[in-house]
Amino acid sequence: MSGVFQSPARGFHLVRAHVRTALSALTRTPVLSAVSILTMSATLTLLGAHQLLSLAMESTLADLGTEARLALVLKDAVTDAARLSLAREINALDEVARVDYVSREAARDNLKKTLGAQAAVLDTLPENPLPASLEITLQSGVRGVDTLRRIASKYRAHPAVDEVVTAESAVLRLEAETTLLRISGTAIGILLILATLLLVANTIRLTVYARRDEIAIMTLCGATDAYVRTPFIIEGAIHGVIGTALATSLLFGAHFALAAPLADLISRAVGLSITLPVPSFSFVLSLLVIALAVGVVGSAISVRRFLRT
Amino acid sequence: MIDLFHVFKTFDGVTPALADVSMSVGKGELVFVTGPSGAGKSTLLRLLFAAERPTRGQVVVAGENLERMRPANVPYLRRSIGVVFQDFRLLPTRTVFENVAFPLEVRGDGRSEIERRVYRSLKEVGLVHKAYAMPPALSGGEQQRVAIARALVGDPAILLADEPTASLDPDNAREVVKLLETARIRGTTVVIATHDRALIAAMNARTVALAGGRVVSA
Repeated sequence: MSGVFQSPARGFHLVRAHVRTALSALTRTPVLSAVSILTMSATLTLLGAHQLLSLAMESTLADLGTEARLALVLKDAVTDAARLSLAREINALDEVARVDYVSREAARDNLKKTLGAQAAVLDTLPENPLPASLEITLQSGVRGVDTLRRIASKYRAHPAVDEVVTAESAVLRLEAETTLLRISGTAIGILLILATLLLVANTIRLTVYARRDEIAIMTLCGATDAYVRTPFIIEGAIHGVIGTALATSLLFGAHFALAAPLADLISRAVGLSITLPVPSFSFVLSLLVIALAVGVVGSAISVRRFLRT
Repeated sequence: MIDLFHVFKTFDGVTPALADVSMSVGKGELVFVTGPSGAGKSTLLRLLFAAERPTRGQVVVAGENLERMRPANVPYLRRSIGVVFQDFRLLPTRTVFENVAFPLEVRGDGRSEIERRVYRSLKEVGLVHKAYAMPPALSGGEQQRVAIARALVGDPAILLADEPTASLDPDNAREVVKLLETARIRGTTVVIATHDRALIAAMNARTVALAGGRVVSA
């Protein structure tokens, strides 16, 4: 075959030609390109909004986890010095954010506040029945039931400690809810990505179909499958970049327009204070990576199917 | 340059489009393949540029046995073959220049090389002045000359033409005949599938006649 075969690779000219073809496709099939880009940006916006809401929910649940903190009920006979030394010891633990001393009087006041109108019942008691305690708040990264159990077991036998109170079941429930939220979030995310992939693949398939004559002539002139495929893949990547830019703008716009009223609404509806996060750089970057992958894989699938037929 | 040995081709497994076809075309030779519609002329040409594979038999083009050729190598074979069709197959949304430049872009030629070759090729078919026209604005004869310019722009070793004059008036057909003859004089192997008797009469060349997929005279 030597002598009749042309040199197969002239990289630079080919790359330039591919990029030019991909860019000109945007103007040659503007409607299809717009459909593909809008589909991509719509689903990326949904995906992004869903992820941002999940992040906000997760962080709210994590904050709730600290409400169920650990309390060491102190023996009545504990001296101030022993209490202070215990509090200092606990405060020095890595997992602990802070230790608050709740005196018997403070505990009584707290209970009074909680009882509200029924607080008078406390005055009928001959003496304050409530013990003093140390309330421990954990660092935000270690608010798991395992940490609670570990600290509880460490201090249960301490001479100054009468009893350890943990809201283990509440924390377990919160953990389960957070896990459920994370799993459902991942599942919805994967479904959205798959839906986008199918939509984009089908849209790009239409652009491939619209250019079938060109592809037929290309292959007749000696174009390799890679030569035919590459501009479409670049085109898919361009759709991904533009789609991400649009989705990011929408998410930022929505954040500034809706975050405050939405947080207010949630606060009034379910009594949770929720902070909707601003899309971070790494968040936008991950959207871009997803969009590029969807664009590139979607195009590759479409052209592959077309080349096979 | 082209050799067929006992080639059979069937599309439905029963009716033969080609049956026991053997023929040989030397380097720089011009050969007509003739016969009525359905005789197998187009199928024969499609076998030569590897758009189809034979059901049985061997097809050797430019020293390469197409039976054994990996699909990935087919594009490289096609870069040494120019093909002209009855319906021109030009891209209506590209200029004449872009249409002719297509085979050179596909093989990755540089911009200046493409310009040089495209203008040379358009000059040969007498259409330099139409370089930036769109194909639908050209007459049928002009479109076929553009198609010939595209087929020859990469200096292929082989030129295949499937009914190149069928949709042209006699004057334009004569122009096309001249261009094909010029290609042969330059050393290109030319195979023309046609049932145009005037075209065959206009050129002093060997004729292979097909009927019902078989060679009836060679």
